[in-house]
Amino acid sequence: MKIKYNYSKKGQLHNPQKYQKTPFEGKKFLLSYQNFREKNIKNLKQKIEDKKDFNEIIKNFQIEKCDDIKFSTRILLKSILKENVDSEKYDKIVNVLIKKFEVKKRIFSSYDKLFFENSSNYQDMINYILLSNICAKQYEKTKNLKFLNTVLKLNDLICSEIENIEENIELNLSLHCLNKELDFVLKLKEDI
Amino acid sequence: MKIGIVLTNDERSRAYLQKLQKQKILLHSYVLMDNGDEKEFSNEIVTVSKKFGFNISETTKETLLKNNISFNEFNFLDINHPKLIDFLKKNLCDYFIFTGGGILKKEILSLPVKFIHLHPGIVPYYRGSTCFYYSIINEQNSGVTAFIMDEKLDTGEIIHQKKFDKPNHQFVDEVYDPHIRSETLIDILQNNILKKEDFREQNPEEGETYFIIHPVLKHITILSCID
Repeated sequence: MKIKYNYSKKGQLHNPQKYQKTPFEGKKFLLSYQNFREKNIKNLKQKIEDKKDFNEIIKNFQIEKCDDIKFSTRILLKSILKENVDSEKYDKIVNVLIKKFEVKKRIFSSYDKLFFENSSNYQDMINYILLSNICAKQYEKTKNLKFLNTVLKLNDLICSEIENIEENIELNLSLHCLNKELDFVLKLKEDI
Repeated sequence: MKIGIVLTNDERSRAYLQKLQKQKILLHSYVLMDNGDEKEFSNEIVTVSKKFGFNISETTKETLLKNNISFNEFNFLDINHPKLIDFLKKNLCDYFIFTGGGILKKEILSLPVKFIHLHPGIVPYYRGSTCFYYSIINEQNSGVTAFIMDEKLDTGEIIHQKKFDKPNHQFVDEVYDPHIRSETLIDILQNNILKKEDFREQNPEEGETYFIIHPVLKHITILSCID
Protein backbone atom coordinates (compact mmCIF):
# COMPACT_ATOMS: atom_id res chain seq x y z
CA MET A 1 0.00 0.00 0.00
CA LYS A 2 1.30 3.44 -0.97
CA ILE A 3 1.66 5.94 1.85
CA LYS A 4 1.01 9.61 1.28
CA TYR A 5 3.16 12.25 2.95
CA ASN A 6 0.48 14.14 4.88
CA TYR A 7 2.45 16.75 6.79
CA SER A 8 2.64 19.37 4.09
CA LYS A 9 -0.97 19.77 3.05
CA LYS A 10 -1.75 23.04 1.30
CA GLY A 11 -2.27 26.21 3.29
CA GLN A 12 -0.30 25.55 6.46
CA LEU A 13 0.30 29.22 6.99
CA HIS A 14 -3.33 29.51 8.09
CA ASN A 15 -3.92 25.93 9.24
CA PRO A 16 -0.67 24.87 10.84
CA GLN A 17 0.37 21.28 11.37
CA LYS A 18 0.76 20.46 15.08
CA TYR A 19 2.70 17.15 14.80
CA GLN A 20 1.13 15.73 17.94
CA LYS A 21 0.97 11.95 18.38
CA THR A 22 1.99 11.24 14.81
CA PRO A 23 1.65 7.55 13.88
CA PHE A 24 4.50 5.24 12.96
CA GLU A 25 3.93 4.09 9.37
CA GLY A 26 7.02 2.00 8.72
CA LYS A 27 9.81 2.26 6.16
CA LYS A 28 7.43 3.36 3.42
CA PHE A 29 6.83 6.63 5.21
CA LEU A 30 10.40 7.76 4.70
CA LEU A 31 10.13 6.91 1.02
CA SER A 32 6.94 8.94 0.70
CA TYR A 33 8.69 11.87 2.41
CA GLN A 34 11.67 11.63 0.06
CA ASN A 35 9.44 11.44 -3.03
CA PHE A 36 7.41 14.41 -1.83
CA ARG A 37 10.45 16.59 -1.21
CA GLU A 38 12.07 15.57 -4.52
CA LYS A 39 8.87 16.51 -6.34
CA ASN A 40 8.89 19.94 -4.70
CA ILE A 41 12.58 20.43 -5.48
CA LYS A 42 11.87 19.59 -9.13
CA ASN A 43 8.94 22.04 -9.21
CA LEU A 44 11.06 24.78 -7.72
CA LYS A 45 13.84 24.19 -10.24
CA GLN A 46 11.31 24.54 -13.05
CA LYS A 47 9.85 27.68 -11.53
CA ILE A 48 13.17 29.46 -11.01
CA GLU A 49 13.95 31.61 -14.03
CA ASP A 50 17.20 33.04 -12.73
CA LYS A 51 19.23 30.47 -10.80
CA LYS A 52 21.39 32.14 -8.16
CA ASP A 53 24.18 30.85 -5.97
CA PHE A 54 23.20 30.75 -2.28
CA ASN A 55 26.34 32.51 -1.03
CA GLU A 56 25.96 35.20 -3.66
CA ILE A 57 22.37 35.87 -2.57
CA ILE A 58 23.45 36.21 1.05
CA LYS A 59 26.42 38.40 0.17
CA ASN A 60 24.17 40.78 -1.73
CA PHE A 61 21.56 41.18 0.99
CA GLN A 62 20.85 44.85 1.59
CA ILE A 63 20.38 45.28 5.34
CA GLU A 64 18.26 48.30 6.20
CA LYS A 65 18.64 49.93 9.59
CA CYS A 66 16.42 48.51 12.35
CA ASP A 67 14.10 50.51 14.57
CA ASP A 68 15.25 50.78 18.19
CA ILE A 69 11.88 49.86 19.72
CA LYS A 70 10.54 47.29 17.29
CA PHE A 71 12.34 45.42 14.58
CA SER A 72 11.53 43.80 11.31
CA THR A 73 11.95 40.02 11.45
CA ARG A 74 13.02 39.97 7.83
CA ILE A 75 15.88 42.41 8.43
CA LEU A 76 16.97 40.56 11.55
CA LEU A 77 16.97 37.17 9.80
CA LYS A 78 18.86 38.58 6.83
CA SER A 79 21.48 40.04 9.18
CA ILE A 80 21.90 36.71 10.95
CA LEU A 81 22.33 34.87 7.68
CA LYS A 82 24.67 37.49 6.23
CA GLU A 83 26.85 38.19 9.24
CA ASN A 84 27.47 34.96 11.05
CA VAL A 85 24.78 32.51 11.85
CA ASP A 86 26.63 30.92 14.77
CA SER A 87 27.95 34.01 16.48
CA GLU A 88 27.10 34.22 20.17
CA LYS A 89 25.34 37.49 19.48
CA TYR A 90 22.71 35.75 17.40
CA ASP A 91 22.58 32.40 19.18
CA LYS A 92 19.97 33.51 21.69
CA ILE A 93 17.87 35.28 19.04
CA VAL A 94 17.80 32.19 16.81
CA ASN A 95 16.70 30.09 19.79
CA VAL A 96 13.93 32.55 20.63
CA LEU A 97 12.69 32.55 17.03
CA ILE A 98 12.76 28.75 16.90
CA LYS A 99 10.68 28.66 20.09
CA LYS A 100 8.26 31.24 18.67
CA PHE A 101 7.79 29.14 15.55
CA GLU A 102 7.61 25.80 17.36
CA VAL A 103 4.98 27.05 19.80
CA LYS A 104 2.82 29.23 17.55
CA LYS A 105 3.82 27.74 14.20
CA ARG A 106 3.97 31.30 12.94
CA ILE A 107 6.63 33.95 12.52
CA PHE A 108 5.38 37.50 12.78
CA SER A 109 6.84 40.22 10.63
CA SER A 110 7.78 42.41 13.57
CA TYR A 111 8.66 41.93 17.24
CA ASP A 112 9.58 44.33 20.02
CA LYS A 113 12.81 44.23 21.99
CA LEU A 114 11.39 41.59 24.34
CA PHE A 115 10.27 39.50 21.38
CA PHE A 116 6.57 40.13 21.83
CA GLU A 117 4.69 40.24 18.54
CA ASN A 118 4.45 43.74 17.20
CA SER A 119 2.41 42.91 14.15
CA SER A 120 -0.47 40.64 13.23
CA ASN A 121 1.14 39.78 9.91
CA TYR A 122 2.50 36.25 9.75
CA GLN A 123 2.12 35.79 6.00
CA ASP A 124 5.59 36.87 4.87
CA MET A 125 7.00 33.66 3.42
CA ILE A 126 10.49 35.13 3.31
CA ASN A 127 10.69 34.93 7.12
CA TYR A 128 10.02 31.17 7.12
CA ILE A 129 12.45 30.66 4.25
CA LEU A 130 15.21 32.69 5.94
CA LEU A 131 14.74 30.93 9.29
CA SER A 132 14.85 27.55 7.58
CA ASN A 133 18.17 28.47 5.93
CA ILE A 134 19.54 29.71 9.26
CA CYS A 135 18.54 26.47 11.00
CA ALA A 136 20.00 24.42 8.16
CA LYS A 137 23.31 26.26 8.54
CA GLN A 138 23.22 25.69 12.27
CA TYR A 139 22.50 21.99 11.87
CA GLU A 140 25.34 21.65 9.38
CA LYS A 141 27.69 23.25 11.87
CA THR A 142 26.50 21.74 15.19
CA LYS A 143 24.62 18.56 14.22
CA ASN A 144 22.11 19.57 16.91
CA LEU A 145 18.85 17.81 15.97
CA LYS A 146 16.81 20.70 17.33
CA PHE A 147 17.76 22.65 14.20
CA LEU A 148 16.99 19.84 11.77
CA ASN A 149 13.63 19.32 13.48
CA THR A 150 12.72 22.96 12.88
CA VAL A 151 14.01 22.86 9.29
CA LEU A 152 11.69 19.90 8.59
CA LYS A 153 8.66 21.76 9.97
CA LEU A 154 9.51 25.04 8.24
CA ASN A 155 10.02 23.20 4.97
CA ASP A 156 6.67 21.42 5.33
CA LEU A 157 5.13 24.86 5.59
CA ILE A 158 7.18 26.21 2.67
CA CYS A 159 6.13 23.26 0.46
CA SER A 160 2.50 23.77 1.47
CA GLU A 161 2.67 27.37 0.26
CA ILE A 162 4.97 26.82 -2.71
CA GLU A 163 2.39 28.05 -5.23
CA ASN A 164 2.39 31.43 -3.50
CA ILE A 165 6.15 31.93 -3.67
CA GLU A 166 6.91 34.05 -6.71
CA GLU A 167 9.99 36.14 -6.04
CA ASN A 168 13.20 34.84 -7.51
CA ILE A 169 15.29 35.22 -4.35
CA GLU A 170 12.64 33.45 -2.27
CA LEU A 171 12.44 30.62 -4.78
CA ASN A 172 16.22 30.22 -4.82
CA LEU A 173 16.44 30.24 -1.02
CA SER A 174 13.56 27.75 -0.75
CA LEU A 175 15.35 25.41 -3.13
CA HIS A 176 18.51 25.71 -1.06
CA CYS A 177 16.90 24.80 2.28
CA LEU A 178 14.91 21.93 0.75
CA ASN A 179 18.04 20.47 -0.85
CA LYS A 180 19.98 20.85 2.39
CA GLU A 181 17.24 19.21 4.45
CA LEU A 182 16.99 16.19 2.17
CA ASP A 183 20.78 15.73 2.26
CA PHE A 184 20.78 15.92 6.07
CA VAL A 185 17.94 13.43 6.44
CA LEU A 186 19.42 10.90 4.03
CA LYS A 187 22.81 11.18 5.74
CA LEU A 188 21.27 10.78 9.20
CA LYS A 189 19.30 7.74 8.06
CA GLU A 190 22.49 6.19 6.71
CA ASP A 191 24.61 6.98 9.78
CA ILE A 192 22.31 5.88 12.57
CA MET B 1 5.67 10.90 54.57
CA LYS B 2 2.42 11.27 52.61
CA ILE B 3 2.62 10.66 48.87
CA GLY B 4 -0.32 10.94 46.52
CA ILE B 5 -0.83 10.56 42.79
CA VAL B 6 -2.99 12.45 40.31
CA LEU B 7 -3.92 9.91 37.65
CA THR B 8 -5.55 10.20 34.26
CA ASN B 9 -6.68 7.40 31.97
CA ASP B 10 -3.68 7.57 29.65
CA GLU B 11 -0.97 4.97 29.02
CA ARG B 12 1.38 6.66 31.46
CA SER B 13 -1.03 6.55 34.41
CA ARG B 14 -1.92 2.95 33.60
CA ALA B 15 1.77 1.97 33.74
CA TYR B 16 2.42 3.93 36.94
CA LEU B 17 -0.54 2.48 38.79
CA GLN B 18 -0.15 -1.11 37.65
CA LYS B 19 3.56 -1.18 38.48
CA LEU B 20 2.94 0.39 41.90
CA GLN B 21 0.42 -2.35 42.57
CA LYS B 22 2.77 -5.09 41.37
CA GLN B 23 5.44 -3.80 43.74
CA LYS B 24 2.83 -3.53 46.52
CA ILE B 25 3.56 0.15 46.98
CA LEU B 26 0.54 1.89 48.47
CA LEU B 27 0.18 5.66 48.35
CA HIS B 28 -1.67 7.95 50.71
CA SER B 29 -4.03 9.47 48.14
CA TYR B 30 -5.27 8.53 44.68
CA VAL B 31 -6.97 11.09 42.45
CA LEU B 32 -8.38 10.23 39.04
CA MET B 33 -9.13 12.81 36.36
CA ASP B 34 -11.12 11.02 33.68
CA ASN B 35 -13.16 12.75 30.98
CA GLY B 36 -14.45 9.46 29.58
CA ASP B 37 -12.28 9.39 26.46
CA GLU B 38 -11.44 5.82 25.51
CA LYS B 39 -8.70 4.50 23.26
CA GLU B 40 -8.46 1.12 21.61
CA PHE B 41 -5.22 -0.80 21.37
CA SER B 42 -4.19 -3.54 18.95
CA ASN B 43 -3.36 -7.04 20.20
CA GLU B 44 0.26 -6.45 19.24
CA ILE B 45 0.63 -3.37 21.41
CA VAL B 46 -1.12 -5.08 24.34
CA THR B 47 1.31 -8.00 24.08
CA VAL B 48 4.32 -5.68 24.00
CA SER B 49 3.04 -3.64 26.96
CA LYS B 50 2.63 -6.81 29.02
CA LYS B 51 6.25 -7.71 28.29
CA PHE B 52 7.16 -4.41 29.90
CA GLY B 53 5.13 -4.94 33.04
CA PHE B 54 1.74 -3.37 32.38
CA ASN B 55 -1.41 -4.06 30.43
CA ILE B 56 -2.08 -1.04 28.27
CA SER B 57 -5.68 -2.11 27.65
CA GLU B 58 -6.61 -2.05 31.35
CA THR B 59 -8.02 1.35 32.24
CA THR B 60 -6.80 3.25 35.28
CA LYS B 61 -10.23 2.96 36.87
CA GLU B 62 -10.32 -0.81 36.30
CA THR B 63 -6.98 -1.16 38.12
CA LEU B 64 -8.17 1.03 41.00
CA LEU B 65 -11.41 -0.93 41.38
CA LYS B 66 -9.77 -4.34 40.94
CA ASN B 67 -7.37 -3.56 43.77
CA ASN B 68 -10.00 -1.99 46.07
CA ILE B 69 -8.12 1.28 46.14
CA SER B 70 -10.21 4.20 47.34
CA PHE B 71 -9.89 7.18 45.04
CA ASN B 72 -11.46 10.54 44.27
CA GLU B 73 -12.69 10.96 40.74
CA PHE B 74 -13.13 14.13 38.70
CA ASN B 75 -14.74 14.16 35.27
CA PHE B 76 -12.33 16.65 33.70
CA LEU B 77 -8.76 16.55 32.51
CA ASP B 78 -7.30 19.75 33.86
CA ILE B 79 -4.65 19.82 36.55
CA ASN B 80 -5.45 23.50 37.22
CA HIS B 81 -9.20 22.99 37.66
CA PRO B 82 -10.51 24.87 40.76
CA LYS B 83 -12.31 21.73 42.01
CA LEU B 84 -9.09 19.75 41.93
CA ILE B 85 -7.12 22.54 43.60
CA ASP B 86 -9.78 22.72 46.30
CA PHE B 87 -9.57 18.96 46.84
CA LEU B 88 -5.77 19.01 47.04
CA LYS B 89 -5.91 21.85 49.58
CA LYS B 90 -8.13 19.74 51.83
CA ASN B 91 -6.16 16.54 51.31
CA LEU B 92 -2.60 17.71 51.59
CA CYS B 93 0.28 15.35 50.96
CA ASP B 94 4.01 16.03 51.08
CA TYR B 95 4.29 15.00 47.44
CA PHE B 96 1.90 14.40 44.59
CA ILE B 97 3.05 12.45 41.55
CA PHE B 98 1.99 14.29 38.42
CA THR B 99 1.09 12.16 35.43
CA GLY B 100 -0.26 14.74 33.00
CA GLY B 101 -3.25 16.94 32.35
CA GLY B 102 -1.64 20.26 31.53
CA ILE B 103 1.04 22.63 32.75
CA LEU B 104 0.89 23.54 36.43
CA LYS B 105 -0.14 27.17 36.91
CA LYS B 106 0.78 29.49 39.77
CA GLU B 107 -2.22 28.66 41.96
CA ILE B 108 -1.59 24.93 42.11
CA LEU B 109 2.17 25.44 42.43
CA SER B 110 1.62 27.68 45.44
CA LEU B 111 -0.02 24.84 47.43
CA PRO B 112 2.14 23.48 50.26
CA VAL B 113 2.74 20.26 48.35
CA LYS B 114 5.52 19.31 45.95
CA PHE B 115 4.61 17.90 42.56
CA ILE B 116 6.90 15.28 41.09
CA HIS B 117 7.23 14.97 37.34
CA LEU B 118 8.92 12.08 35.60
CA HIS B 119 10.40 13.64 32.49
CA PRO B 120 11.59 11.30 29.72
CA GLY B 121 15.00 12.88 29.23
CA ILE B 122 18.23 13.40 31.13
CA VAL B 123 18.18 17.09 32.02
CA PRO B 124 19.75 19.57 31.41
CA TYR B 125 20.77 17.96 28.10
CA TYR B 126 17.26 16.89 27.15
CA ARG B 127 14.54 19.28 28.22
CA GLY B 128 11.21 19.81 26.45
CA SER B 129 9.14 17.45 24.36
CA THR B 130 9.65 13.89 23.02
CA CYS B 131 13.23 13.89 24.29
CA PHE B 132 13.69 10.13 24.10
CA TYR B 133 13.72 10.28 20.31
CA TYR B 134 16.51 12.84 20.25
CA SER B 135 18.45 10.93 22.89
CA ILE B 136 18.14 7.63 21.02
CA ILE B 137 19.47 9.22 17.81
CA ASN B 138 22.32 10.96 19.62
CA GLU B 139 23.28 8.37 22.19
CA GLN B 140 21.51 5.11 21.37
CA ASN B 141 19.83 5.24 24.77
CA SER B 142 17.40 7.35 26.70
CA GLY B 143 16.73 8.39 30.26
CA VAL B 144 14.28 9.77 32.77
CA THR B 145 14.67 12.62 35.24
CA ALA B 146 12.35 12.90 38.22
CA PHE B 147 12.16 16.47 39.45
CA ILE B 148 10.11 18.80 41.61
CA MET B 149 7.95 20.89 39.31
CA ASP B 150 8.35 24.65 39.27
CA GLU B 151 6.96 27.39 37.06
CA LYS B 152 9.56 26.87 34.35
CA LEU B 153 9.87 24.03 31.87
CA ASP B 154 11.83 21.02 33.18
CA THR B 155 14.11 23.08 35.41
CA GLY B 156 13.03 21.94 38.91
CA GLU B 157 15.22 20.28 41.53
CA ILE B 158 16.41 16.85 40.41
CA ILE B 159 15.29 13.93 42.57
CA HIS B 160 16.65 11.05 40.54
CA GLN B 161 17.89 10.15 37.05
CA LYS B 162 17.94 6.76 35.36
CA LYS B 163 19.14 5.63 31.93
CA PHE B 164 17.52 2.98 29.72
CA ASP B 165 18.52 1.02 26.62
CA LYS B 166 16.73 2.01 23.45
CA PRO B 167 13.56 -0.01 22.77
CA ASN B 168 13.47 -3.09 20.55
CA HIS B 169 9.91 -2.46 19.39
CA GLN B 170 8.00 0.24 17.53
CA PHE B 171 5.65 1.40 20.29
CA VAL B 172 7.83 4.16 21.61
CA ASP B 173 5.13 6.66 22.60
CA GLU B 174 2.65 4.11 23.90
CA VAL B 175 4.85 1.56 25.69
CA TYR B 176 8.51 2.65 25.94
CA ASP B 177 7.73 6.14 27.30
CA PRO B 178 5.35 4.94 30.09
CA HIS B 179 7.66 2.01 30.82
CA ILE B 180 10.80 4.07 31.44
CA ARG B 181 8.93 6.66 33.50
CA SER B 182 7.16 4.09 35.65
CA GLU B 183 10.39 2.14 36.27
CA THR B 184 12.02 5.37 37.49
CA LEU B 185 9.07 6.04 39.79
CA ILE B 186 9.35 2.56 41.30
CA ASP B 187 13.09 3.12 41.80
CA ILE B 188 12.42 6.32 43.74
CA LEU B 189 9.77 4.83 45.97
CA GLN B 190 11.52 1.51 46.61
CA ASN B 191 14.76 3.23 47.55
CA ASN B 192 13.13 5.91 49.72
CA ILE B 193 14.83 8.61 47.69
CA LEU B 194 12.22 11.21 48.67
CA LYS B 195 12.95 10.76 52.39
CA LYS B 196 16.60 11.63 51.86
CA GLU B 197 15.58 14.96 50.26
CA ASP B 198 18.98 15.06 48.62
CA PHE B 199 17.77 16.95 45.58
CA ARG B 200 20.04 18.69 43.08
CA GLU B 201 19.37 22.18 41.80
CA GLN B 202 19.50 22.79 38.07
CA ASN B 203 20.96 25.71 36.22
CA PRO B 204 18.13 26.72 33.87
CA GLU B 205 20.63 28.39 31.53
CA GLU B 206 22.44 25.13 30.86
CA GLY B 207 21.43 22.38 28.47
CA GLU B 208 19.07 22.07 25.53
CA THR B 209 15.33 22.29 25.03
CA TYR B 210 13.74 20.22 22.28
CA PHE B 211 10.34 20.57 20.64
CA ILE B 212 7.89 17.94 19.48
CA ILE B 213 9.64 15.56 17.10
CA HIS B 214 8.98 15.75 13.37
CA PRO B 215 7.60 12.46 11.95
CA VAL B 216 10.64 12.05 9.71
CA LEU B 217 13.01 12.05 12.70
CA LYS B 218 10.56 9.88 14.60
CA HIS B 219 10.61 7.27 11.83
CA ILE B 220 14.41 7.34 11.56
CA THR B 221 14.61 6.71 15.32
CA ILE B 222 12.08 3.89 15.46
CA LEU B 223 13.48 2.16 12.38
CA SER B 224 16.94 2.29 13.97
CA CYS B 225 15.50 0.47 17.00
CA ILE B 226 13.70 -2.33 15.17
CA ASP B 227 15.77 -2.90 11.99
